[in-house]
Amino acid sequence: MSKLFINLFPMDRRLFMLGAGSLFLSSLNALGEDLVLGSETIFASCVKKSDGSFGAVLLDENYKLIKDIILPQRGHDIVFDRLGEIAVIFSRRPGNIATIIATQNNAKPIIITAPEGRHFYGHGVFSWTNKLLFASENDYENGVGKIGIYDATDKFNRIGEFDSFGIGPHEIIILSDGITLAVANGGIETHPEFGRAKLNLATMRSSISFINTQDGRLIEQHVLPENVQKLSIRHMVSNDEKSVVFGGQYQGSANKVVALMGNCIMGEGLKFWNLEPKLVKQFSNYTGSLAISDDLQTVAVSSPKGGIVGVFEAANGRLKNKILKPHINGLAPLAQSFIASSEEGTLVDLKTGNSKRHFDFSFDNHMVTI
Amino acid sequence: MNFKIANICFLGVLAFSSCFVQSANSKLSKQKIEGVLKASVENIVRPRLNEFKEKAIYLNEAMQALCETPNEENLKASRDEFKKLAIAWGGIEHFRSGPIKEQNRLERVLFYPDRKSTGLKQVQRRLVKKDATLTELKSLQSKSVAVQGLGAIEFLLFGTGSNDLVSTSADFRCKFAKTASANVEAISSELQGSWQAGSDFSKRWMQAGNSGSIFANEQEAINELLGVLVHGLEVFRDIRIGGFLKKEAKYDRPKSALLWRSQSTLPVLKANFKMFEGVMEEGGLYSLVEEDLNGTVNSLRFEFKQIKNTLNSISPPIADALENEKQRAKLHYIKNTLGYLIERIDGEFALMLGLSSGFSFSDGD
Repeated sequence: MSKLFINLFPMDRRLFMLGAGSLFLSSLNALGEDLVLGSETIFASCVKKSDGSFGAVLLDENYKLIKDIILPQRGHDIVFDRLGEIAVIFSRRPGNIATIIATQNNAKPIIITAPEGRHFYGHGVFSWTNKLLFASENDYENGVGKIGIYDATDKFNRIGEFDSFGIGPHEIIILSDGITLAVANGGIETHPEFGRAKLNLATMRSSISFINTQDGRLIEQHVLPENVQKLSIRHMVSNDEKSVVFGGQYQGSANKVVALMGNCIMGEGLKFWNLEPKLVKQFSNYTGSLAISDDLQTVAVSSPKGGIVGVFEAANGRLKNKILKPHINGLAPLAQSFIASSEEGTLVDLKTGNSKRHFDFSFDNHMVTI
Repeated sequence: MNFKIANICFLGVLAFSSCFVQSANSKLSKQKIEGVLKASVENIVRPRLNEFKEKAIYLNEAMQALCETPNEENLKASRDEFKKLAIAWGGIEHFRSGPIKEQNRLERVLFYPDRKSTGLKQVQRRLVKKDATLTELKSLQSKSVAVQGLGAIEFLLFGTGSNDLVSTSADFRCKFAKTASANVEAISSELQGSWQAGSDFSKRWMQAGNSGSIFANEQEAINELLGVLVHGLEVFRDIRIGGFLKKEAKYDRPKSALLWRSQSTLPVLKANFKMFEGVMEEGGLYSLVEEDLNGTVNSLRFEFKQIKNTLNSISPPIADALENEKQRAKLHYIKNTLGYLIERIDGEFALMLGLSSGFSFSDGD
């Protein structure tokens, strides 16, 4: 990120450290600290507690609970820095806070808020160098998407922003060149004054933008065709240095069954997977989240509405396996499989279909791992 | 209604709601779900769409008479028919499933909210230009959704300059309104046809998951129905009431209220809420509950009744209601109670239907 770019986009910001006795609690006991340090893998997810409150949890490689955070708003995605030492928990839209926690000690969480006129969309990503945090945001008065830039080396001060080149940016990921940011512009305009209502379904248009994070320049953009005008691309994983796999949510009638998943390749464009119609229908026009295997060859896609998780070849969408279980949404890769989290609080190994553990809270949309 | 008592009850039930309720019905039978789908179509969708279509025909006829013979009497008749049509639409508009979500029918009948007054500006601009393409149905249907439906008709019949409709000098205005009325009638016909008895769509919609069904499985079918209710209530609270009612009276926006020019805001709100209650009662959602240890159904019924009674006790026009401290307080009570009602249907009631915590059907992200 050049200094010039930062100076071009000066932003006000609000940040505060949480004091003792605050509403927002983070617990990690001595045993928990050992578990974190000794665990090769950490899983994280936002949750809804049995008393209706919201939080986030960290689990170790044996799915033991090692950190339990109470959140003031429902969270959505959690992103780790590339060392796994910092986790950022984004509020679900139209929330305007992100909670930043240290994963390996009991340092007090930091809460950052989106600036006036913006709210978060629930997703973000760290830059390759860990110095910057990018967040998908809504400039709701102007009805356009923005990517907020936060300085991870300076208490997550907001230091700039650039366009998402669309409406309703949702998941954002950095490709393996470390520079290109892929943005899933869901295409749906919302305004906090109207809650979560979708304001432009008649004219919405979803797209994937590839943006140069060094200067905010649009490298290329691929807009969904007219025949799927009401499909909203929400989530992505990167399967190649110039390619992402995407999953969408259809906003039209259940009477119409549309393709939801495909590849978007830089220089080539969008290509929907050619799946069996019966399989497509099982996804109930909705994908909840995607995860990719460590070798980037296999993608899992969940549909909590359809009660299915499909496991596909990332390059072409060939079906490898499917699990029919209701209410599964979050997905994260394992060495030879994927772990799936459900609203009932269950973790399921997709290879065997077996439950690995059950909790008395509901897992929210996304499960991440580091 | 004793307003103080209502507030006390509201707080009391709030306290009750903090209890976590376990799922009573882990799995509903396909037969039972299909029974509710059928009841929803037969008791809610079809009669209300019939009403909507009938009122759309009446408005179209009244508009034809007005354009042929512009006078006070015909203008009044058209305005009256418009108000009835708005209420009929309010009785079905939130059942947002199936054909209403295709071909932008929802937005073509009613483009709202219109935060930047796009629709109004477009209508006014075209009135000045006397854009003849708006007086031919096919041509109008290819224009912006904002000039095709109730919002446009309302401005033409009730907005600035509408009194000119009593003479031939407003011929273009009248033809524009008549064409938009014909468009709404055409859409009402399409909707009614899609849902009518024996139609392929309605047969498929009433099946809870098999090869011929619209839904992949029973869960999706019940998600759709409960989603209609929860999303509808959210829109009702956040957009329809939240659009004009603000925390502080000085920020209220009576002219942002839906169809305020025709004083239809409150009648439409009442029609909306009647449908929500109908989905639970005549639609049969309550009947899906097999074991109600905590009295959830009675409690929800009580909340519905309180909101309905409060709503019915507020008098139009909405601008006057906002000026009146007591009436304004009632609107706030309704808005607050709706939040609680949504939370309970989304959580506690959904759990009783075996739908987990309501994450899935309430909305995705």
